[in-house]
Amino acid sequence: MEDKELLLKIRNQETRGYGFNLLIRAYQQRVYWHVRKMVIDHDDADDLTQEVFIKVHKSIDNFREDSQLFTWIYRIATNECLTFLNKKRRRFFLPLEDVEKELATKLDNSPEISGEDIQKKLQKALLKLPDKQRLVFNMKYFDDLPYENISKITGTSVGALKASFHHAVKKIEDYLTA
Amino acid sequence: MKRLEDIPKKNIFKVPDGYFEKLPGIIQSRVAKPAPAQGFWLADLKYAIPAVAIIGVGIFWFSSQSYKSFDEQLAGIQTEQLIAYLDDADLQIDDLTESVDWNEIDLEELEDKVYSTFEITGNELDMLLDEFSVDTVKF
Repeated sequence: MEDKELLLKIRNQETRGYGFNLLIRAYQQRVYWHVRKMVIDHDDADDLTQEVFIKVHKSIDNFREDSQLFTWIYRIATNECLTFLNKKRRRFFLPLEDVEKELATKLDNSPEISGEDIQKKLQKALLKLPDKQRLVFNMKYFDDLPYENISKITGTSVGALKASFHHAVKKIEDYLTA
Repeated sequence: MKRLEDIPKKNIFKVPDGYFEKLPGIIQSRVAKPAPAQGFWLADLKYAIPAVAIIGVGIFWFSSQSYKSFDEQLAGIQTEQLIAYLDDADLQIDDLTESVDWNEIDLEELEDKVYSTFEITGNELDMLLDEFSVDTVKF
């Protein structure tokens, strides 16, 4: 179903619930995996994914269709992730390295994470990046989003995103080689 | 040097079985729920506290105004206003004296005030007594 049709259903009071259910089903996996790669832990990703859709539900009537629906939802999800990670640091007065260590420990110990050592090492290398650079890397490398879309989601210019991605790849390869 | 392109892209994260089947129902039930009571109270307190404070100050101010004694209220009225009122009210001295419940102390004080205004010497007083001798008074 196209976004326009989905929005029509949501904006009609009689079909609002059904339309919103379709929206969740259409975007839940993309939102969840986007969030999960940032927060690593399933429970945290689950909470944040729910919050994202609750915010979508609250604000859907104000969505002006200047951008694509998925770009708008991704932007909400991205903001939720950054807010969550910042809160985590503030709550425990943790420096960057300690949050990174906590997430790296989850990578090693969580039963809901599998994969070869090299993939875990790649994830640990990603944890060394600043949050925003990690977001950009994930969207480009794992989600294959075009720079134009990432630019709309993050509000950053395409040139700056290309430079950010290039630096991220360099840092990751240095870490993997070490 | 290890290159990123040599690493196969693979999602290493897993979710519990049936997670994505259940998630839409969980989100929709949360959306359908009314706002929790705690949120209501917190939202209301920011309006309620100043309102209670304003009402409290109002009651205190009103009470302090209401409990002024009669003397304090009278002191707040200008003498000119009192005279103007008494003129307009067309009251006679008799009306005023009748309307007051005099006690013995009041009467003595009034008598002292009246007689203290008279400046009569002893001779004058004797003359007055002679003139208005008790014997001459006819009933």
